Amino acid sequence: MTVEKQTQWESHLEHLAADFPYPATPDLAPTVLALTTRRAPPRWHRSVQPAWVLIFVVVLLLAGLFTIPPVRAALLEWLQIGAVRIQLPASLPPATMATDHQNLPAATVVRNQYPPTPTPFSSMLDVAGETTLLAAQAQVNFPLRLPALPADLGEPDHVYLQQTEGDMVILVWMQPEEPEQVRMSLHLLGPGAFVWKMQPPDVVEVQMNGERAYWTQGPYYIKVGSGQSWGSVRLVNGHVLIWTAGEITYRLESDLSLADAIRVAESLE
Amino acid sequence: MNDEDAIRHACQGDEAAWLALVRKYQNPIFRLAYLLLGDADEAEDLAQETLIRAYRSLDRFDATRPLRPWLLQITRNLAHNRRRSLQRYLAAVSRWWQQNPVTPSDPPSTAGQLADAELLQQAVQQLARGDQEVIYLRYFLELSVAETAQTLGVAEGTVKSRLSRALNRLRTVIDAAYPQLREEVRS
Repeated sequence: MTVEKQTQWESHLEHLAADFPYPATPDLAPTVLALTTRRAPPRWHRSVQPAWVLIFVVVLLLAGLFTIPPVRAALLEWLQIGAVRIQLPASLPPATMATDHQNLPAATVVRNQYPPTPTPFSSMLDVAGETTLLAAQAQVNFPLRLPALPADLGEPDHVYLQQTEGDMVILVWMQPEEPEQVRMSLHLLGPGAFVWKMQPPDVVEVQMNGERAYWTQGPYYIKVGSGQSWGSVRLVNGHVLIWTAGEITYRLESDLSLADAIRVAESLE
Repeated sequence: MNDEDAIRHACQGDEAAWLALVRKYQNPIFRLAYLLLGDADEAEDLAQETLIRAYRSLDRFDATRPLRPWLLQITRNLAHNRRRSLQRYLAAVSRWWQQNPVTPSDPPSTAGQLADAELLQQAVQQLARGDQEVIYLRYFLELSVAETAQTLGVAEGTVKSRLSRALNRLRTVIDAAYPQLREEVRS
């Protein structure tokens, strides 16, 4: 479409849209005022002062805790792989090394008391920037590699692209028999994007193509962002395999076993 | 009093300042809610909820930023939540309907009975949610590209590219299903 036609089309659209017969806007003020001013207004001098007191107390407590060596070590425990930082819970030892991913150490498995379930679709809907595979590929400068396994997987049902200071593409496949249930999601994080996994119950270091990778099990929260800002916080209830290839970090979220997740990850093409 | 001052006063408990902001922005909030939900009562309810949530977060809002995109962003988010609940409800109704078929007594409204602007909105409703939102904000609510970007939480360039794609898809829908509108847009 030429620029001129686009402009003509747009101007006609504007004209038509301006005639849209909205219902009369009700006066919301009486109800809103009754419901908002009945409670104490968010006055700065009331809310900020207790906040500062609280921050002061927390800083004081943390400073005290940091003087105790074992506590300091535990508080500072985190792992980094590509764009993903995994904050370990204070009680969890550094990631268990699993050289044979078919036979995980029992200690890492029993700690997870929750059955693995795929992430509910509602949480994925909260992700902004839904687009198409083609459009996403056109806007990022790294290849959107898709898993060739499982054989019936096909192209993702939903594609999200988040671009601020780093590109992040999220590919989501739904359960064919349960269209509201996520089957699997693959996150591709370019330089600048980041994810912070907050205290997953289990973290296992595994090998993928001879490289370090991590396997985490939910439930735990993740914070997703890029540049200096955080985007969303989301509950992860499935299993996640995290690995890197060049500058790209991948995280595969599913209810697959570790062995199957690795097979899927290695099938990316 | 400009918005920045009104926000500061409202945060300090000035009821008149808050009232002025409510009266100033209730119209675009209600209209966006109506476009997204398609029901006046639901839209009124959503608009009220938007303003209540905005008030509760007002002290954390950067008063130097434009207020309208922020309010519309809240409206949009709440509409998403509501539509998700509605979709679940409709799925349940649909399952019931399949098990208990009933002959409809009222025929659906035909294209000829609707004004062009209503037909246009009907055509927009055929598009994906993201396409609908960008068209509603930009053309129905007449937000600038910058305001649309702030409302959607994306860059201005992204708004332009989304808009272009959404318009192309809208044109395809109109060509296929809205002959009356097709004549209009080509005249």
